[in-house]
Amino acid sequence: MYQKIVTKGSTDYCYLKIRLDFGKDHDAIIDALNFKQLILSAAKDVFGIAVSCSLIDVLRYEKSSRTAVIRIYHKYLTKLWSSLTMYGNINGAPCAFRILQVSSHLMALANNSRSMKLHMVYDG
Amino acid sequence: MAAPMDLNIPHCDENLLKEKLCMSHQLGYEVVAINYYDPELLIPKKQKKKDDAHQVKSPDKILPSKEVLQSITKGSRKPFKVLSRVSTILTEETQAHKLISEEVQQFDLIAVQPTSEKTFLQACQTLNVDIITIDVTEKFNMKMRRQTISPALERGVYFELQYSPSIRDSTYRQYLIANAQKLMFWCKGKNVILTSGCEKAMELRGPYDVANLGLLFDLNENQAKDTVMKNCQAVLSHSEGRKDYTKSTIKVEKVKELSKTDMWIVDKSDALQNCEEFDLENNAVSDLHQFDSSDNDDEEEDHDSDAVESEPKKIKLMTT
Repeated sequence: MYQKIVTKGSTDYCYLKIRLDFGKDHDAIIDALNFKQLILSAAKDVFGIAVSCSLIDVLRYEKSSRTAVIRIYHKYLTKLWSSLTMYGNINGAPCAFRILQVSSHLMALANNSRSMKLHMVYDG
Repeated sequence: MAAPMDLNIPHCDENLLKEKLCMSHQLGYEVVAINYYDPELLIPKKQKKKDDAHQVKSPDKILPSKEVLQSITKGSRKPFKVLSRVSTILTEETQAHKLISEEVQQFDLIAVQPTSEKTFLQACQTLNVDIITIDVTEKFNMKMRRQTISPALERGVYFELQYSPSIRDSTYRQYLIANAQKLMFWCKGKNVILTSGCEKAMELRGPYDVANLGLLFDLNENQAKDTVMKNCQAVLSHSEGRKDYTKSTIKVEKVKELSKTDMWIVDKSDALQNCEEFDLENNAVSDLHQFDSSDNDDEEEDHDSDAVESEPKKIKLMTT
């Protein structure tokens, strides 16, 4: 059985798939806790405590590629996104948060349509 | 028309520039402009200490070679265009005449950064430039008025804000947001572009990240997206207009009423038209050649797509 949910306007939460990139000569091992700490400090840098206190959940984190799926309130999407954009270095090492996907449904992050490939199969 | 652009990638040494271009291609930019920044461009030669050492570089020297570009795009089909741009500081009104000179006009884009109210007014009203740069590394002290800015809006001159300094330093971040909000108040979100002005490749951000940054500056969603896409396209059209049509005049007259001494114009224009048609065909042929010389993988795909037209096929959706 499935349940049909109708939402009016935007949904409560917003899900982001983000990756932390380092410059060419720099590298660091960052675990999930550190990763969340970085996001919080990025938010605090630009908007102060009010935004960094809001709900920021790291749902899934992959250590090897430093990719994470995070959940935030939809209300704070612009603020959090821009503070991630403005974040530029960790202890002197240049870095950048790359926002790979943004969606209001977690299901949408299961697949990235941009990395989809069409394969032609010759039949007869 | 949704081609993301970054119209300010500062010119630097070859390896770093290649790194920057590579990064901008990866991030999905389709058009970038390499910026040749010369703060003393407009200062007359007599006042300079060394005459020979200071010369404007030609755009050919700034743009990367074809091989470098090919190594950046690596045979991908995404269009990637690199333009040249010159930018300078405008401190006095009398210096502006140098902007008309041939060596400056041969650049694709021309940008000035006015430092005083007078020069700002001059840049908005009369100067033949494409971009007016708003300095984001210090507080914007000029008194802006609607009358000063509206000529720039009418003429299609765009205001530029750079975001990279704000990634480097948090004080610049304050200035950027303050200056940007001030500017948006006066020009109502029109005629603004956001560019990088990056010193390192890691200071570049993706086009959608930059558009989101626009939301911070009191823009609405459409305007924010336009700052990296539509408005940049308008800058390019403006620059083309400046290049081709500034030195010509047009007169409309019926052919029958032309005097006999002027009939040669009709012949000439007919001949020119034929010439252009011929050129078009030539271009088409040369395009075909380019296609052939591309990588082998591409060719195979081409054959596949040709085959699709002629015979029925199964298309399978595969994910990676």
